[in-house]
Amino acid sequence: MTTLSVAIGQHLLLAYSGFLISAVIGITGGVAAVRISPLKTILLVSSSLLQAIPAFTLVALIVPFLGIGFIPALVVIVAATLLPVIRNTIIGLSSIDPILIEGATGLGMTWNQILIKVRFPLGTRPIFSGLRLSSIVANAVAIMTVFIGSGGLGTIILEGLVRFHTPGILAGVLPAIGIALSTDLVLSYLEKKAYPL
Amino acid sequence: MNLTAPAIEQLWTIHDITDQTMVHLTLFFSALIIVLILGLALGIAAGMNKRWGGILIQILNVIEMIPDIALLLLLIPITGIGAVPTIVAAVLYSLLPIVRNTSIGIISIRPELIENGIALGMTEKDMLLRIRLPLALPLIAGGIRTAVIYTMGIVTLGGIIGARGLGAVLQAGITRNNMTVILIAGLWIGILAICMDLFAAGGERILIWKYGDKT
Repeated sequence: MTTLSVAIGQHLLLAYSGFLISAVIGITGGVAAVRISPLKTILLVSSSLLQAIPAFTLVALIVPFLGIGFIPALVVIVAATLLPVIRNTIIGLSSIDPILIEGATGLGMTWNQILIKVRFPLGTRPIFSGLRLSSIVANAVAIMTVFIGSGGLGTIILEGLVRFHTPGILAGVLPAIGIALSTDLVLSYLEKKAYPL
Repeated sequence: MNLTAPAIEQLWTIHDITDQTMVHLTLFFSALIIVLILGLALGIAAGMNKRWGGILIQILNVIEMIPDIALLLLLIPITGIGAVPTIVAAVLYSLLPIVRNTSIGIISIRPELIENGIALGMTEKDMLLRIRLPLALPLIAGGIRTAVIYTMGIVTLGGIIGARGLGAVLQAGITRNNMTVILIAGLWIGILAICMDLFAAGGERILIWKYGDKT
């Protein structure tokens, strides 16, 4: 029997360490892809295809390769949340009016300066919509990974499901929804802070 | 792990994968047809009536923030387990992209086209059917593509609440610790999901080419 607070703690640790790893790798990867254009096409096409694979399939497919437990669960969360971040970062950073990029080049700005002062501020919206989608997916996948022994809120939900005990299911589902909604609020606040206009 | 052809064939038969694929696709298409009809109707209504449309899209936005598995499980007390909650959850979750894209599509028509329609003496209904909807088709197709991905995801999850289908095969593989079953079912679902997405993407391309704004 896992207590609710322990389960919530495990859930938060699992979902959000996965989310943070994805955010860091995804944004770095997006920047690299905008810099190196063949990489951009490859990443855009492959991320669009792989995004179609249901998350529960990824949860299952990790078992033959990494076994069960916290680390495989974390890897699945990163795999499931990385694509929207990379994709939206590439879209956000590269769909800038070319006149602005030319203008900035004309002012003598280097590629890196343009990246930080022009591309990132103007790409805030798409980048954040990728992050928000990812945070919700991370939250959902962190529940599914109970089937591969990750612990967390999924444990409570699974107990409720097996015993067909509605309050038990709700005790696990409602905190997960609360966490998803509050993360989304935090991200939308950060988005407003980051968007210059 | 035993990945020889006879072993795979045997597991395929033991786990009824052909049968489960049919169940999976039936669930998928039932949900998709419902979401298409409902989504288009609500999307057109939302585009015609901005106030209620705004409220509807807000509600759908909140549903979208609920993790998909949580939405699925929340329905159990109301609908029981099995195919019904799976289809309901898939519909609820996939409505937003279609409703939003349809309403945006029929609202954001270039004003001169609407003026042309009025000058030709078209009624609101004519304009909806002959100008607004055709021009909105590429955007609607984009929404349908997202809905296809969401629906496939939830139908797969339905396996854990007794809806049968390929998700159930996956779960059996995990609980019996049978790596071969996991690999076969997992790759098979992946292939199916990517094919459905490619189909939807192809449809989207054709509609963009036929009806897309070429100016």
